[in-house]
Amino acid sequence: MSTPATSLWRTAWQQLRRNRLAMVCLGVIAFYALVALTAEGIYWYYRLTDQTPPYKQVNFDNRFAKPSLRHPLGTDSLGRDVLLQVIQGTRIAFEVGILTSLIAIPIAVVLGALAGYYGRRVDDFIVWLYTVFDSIPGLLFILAIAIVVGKGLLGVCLGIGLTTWVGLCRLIRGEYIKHRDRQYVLAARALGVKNFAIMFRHILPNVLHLVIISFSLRFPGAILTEVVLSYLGVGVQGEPSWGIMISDAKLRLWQGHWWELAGATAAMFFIVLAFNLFGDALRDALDPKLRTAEAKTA
Amino acid sequence: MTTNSPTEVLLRVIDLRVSFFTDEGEVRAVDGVSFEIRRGETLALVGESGCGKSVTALALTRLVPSPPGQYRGGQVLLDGEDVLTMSKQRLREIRGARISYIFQEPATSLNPVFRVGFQIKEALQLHRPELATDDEVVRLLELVGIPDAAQRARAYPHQLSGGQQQRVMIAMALACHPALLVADEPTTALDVTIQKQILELLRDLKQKLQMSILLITHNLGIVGDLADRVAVMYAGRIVEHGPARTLLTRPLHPYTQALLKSIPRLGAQRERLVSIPGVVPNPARLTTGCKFHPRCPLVQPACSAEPEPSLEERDGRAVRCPYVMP
Ligand SMILES: Nc1ncnc2c1ncn2[C@@H]1O[C@H](COP(=O)(O)OP(=O)(O)OP(=O)(O)O)[C@@H](O)[C@H]1O
Ligand SMILES: [Mg+2]
Repeated sequence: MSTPATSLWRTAWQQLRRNRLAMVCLGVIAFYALVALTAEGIYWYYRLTDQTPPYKQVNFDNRFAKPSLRHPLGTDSLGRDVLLQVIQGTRIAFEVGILTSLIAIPIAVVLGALAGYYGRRVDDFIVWLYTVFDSIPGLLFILAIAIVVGKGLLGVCLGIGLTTWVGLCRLIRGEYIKHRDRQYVLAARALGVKNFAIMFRHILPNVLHLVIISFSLRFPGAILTEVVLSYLGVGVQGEPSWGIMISDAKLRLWQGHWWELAGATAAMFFIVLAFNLFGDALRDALDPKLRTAEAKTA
Repeated sequence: MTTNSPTEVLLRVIDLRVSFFTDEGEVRAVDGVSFEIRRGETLALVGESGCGKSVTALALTRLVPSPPGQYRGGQVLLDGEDVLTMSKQRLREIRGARISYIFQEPATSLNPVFRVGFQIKEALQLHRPELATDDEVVRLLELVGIPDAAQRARAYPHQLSGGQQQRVMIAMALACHPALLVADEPTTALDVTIQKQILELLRDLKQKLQMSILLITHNLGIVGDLADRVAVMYAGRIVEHGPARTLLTRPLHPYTQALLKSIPRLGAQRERLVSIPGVVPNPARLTTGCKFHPRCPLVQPACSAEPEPSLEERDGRAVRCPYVMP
């Protein structure tokens, strides 16, 4: 009798595998990730060898070139290749998505866990804290942070990271309130496990799917916010992010130079779409309770 | 039953009081409970739902959720050391190592996301790290009668049957050689044949490992094989206390008699509980005099008068009713 131990994760993965749309989205995400990684390589190579990277090479004789074989997405107002810039934009989009998650998710998980597990005054304080954060208009708060720490990638990521943890934190808190009274937690306490170990070794793996769902659903939000911030001029400086490209290109759209805007917008559109669709599929696969709850209300 | 000769006392509970503070006011879940457990001895704590058995059990290692629970008095002396006042650090050393628990619902007592072998290993890691090996895990699983132990160690809880889950819980509880195993309704969630197997397992292990057991149940029918002594609880206090053999054959307190009549028959077509007339008193409301008098078939006019009868002891038996003195 050999029953292969099937974990929750494996079941979820099997369900996800059967969802063709989700698999296509995952393929798209993987492709973008690969592009981002390549772009990272290009960026660091030229930075470390102190050369001008190809996507920054200015060529005044070849401004506003239409898409062609040499420049599949044409060139911009300084004669730089648009496709190469879109690729670098992918790198920045992923950096923003990952860095903001690295800031927001730990805050959300730690505060949510403490509030839900300990309850009482700890809970009161943390709920108060995130209610305050939540009542500040997001974009203004991000702008303020970006201005304080300076324009650029760090400011953008800090700004987005520090303003987007509240939703996940609420969710985690709610889950911990449920789990702290579960019998397995009592059993762990009865064995002499410390509170911190119970919170992060015993309960956290039970709510980890929420973190992963949240990661894939917040990624596109972070990318879009970066675009808005760059558009507003407090975003990434000196590197071609999608937001900067869109912001630059809009001025020249009426001249008929559509390719710069189209390139950046399309690149952004597909990754955001893929992440949103995949995140939804992931939630369906990982959170069966949620799905049945939705089915009941529908 | 083989009662171990009056050896030393392992655990002595003195006038334990635990209350819950709820919207309805103070609920005295445990209201002056005293008992002792000697080494190698099994004490059964019996009573209807809500009489405070679980709270008593949890209080032994200060596990009562607080809030809303609060310890209102008494002592829990484990080898002479008071659990209710010791440091948290010391408490963690005792939990799982000196006193361990198995609970009613084995399915929910195991962490759903970890393999059972891993969970047993963690229990070992806490108190006997030098023994936290796969071999020891397999040995423990074999000890509790799980076939194909090496294989089963890799299973997740939901892949095991209820009986096997409870065996895993027992393996976890025994991992660090506790002196006292608290089994809180260990078989209530299981079906009848499995119940018997688990009780037999507990009896074997008790002899093999020389440990004490506090067996909690609402079913007096299962205590006979396992318990050396029985304490009957009603509304937060002990109403009768004595050696299992005599208490089961010659119950004194009217409540114990009623409980014995309500034993579900093992193997009966449908396991039905002959219930005791009347309802368990709401612990938030106070009854004057004997707590059982509203339901008592032998009730006398004086029963509702204060003070409440005290637990009178004679010949190793104790009962809280002046009309049925031992
Ligand atoms: N967390 C809690 N909050 C409030 N009241 C509680 C809590 N836990 C227990 N109580 C109260 O304490 C009393 C005793 O509960 P306890 O769980 O010890 O009963 P029990 O004898 O174990 O019953 P059962 O056979 O149903 O397990 C009950 O009246 C219950 O309402
Ligand atoms: Mg109980």
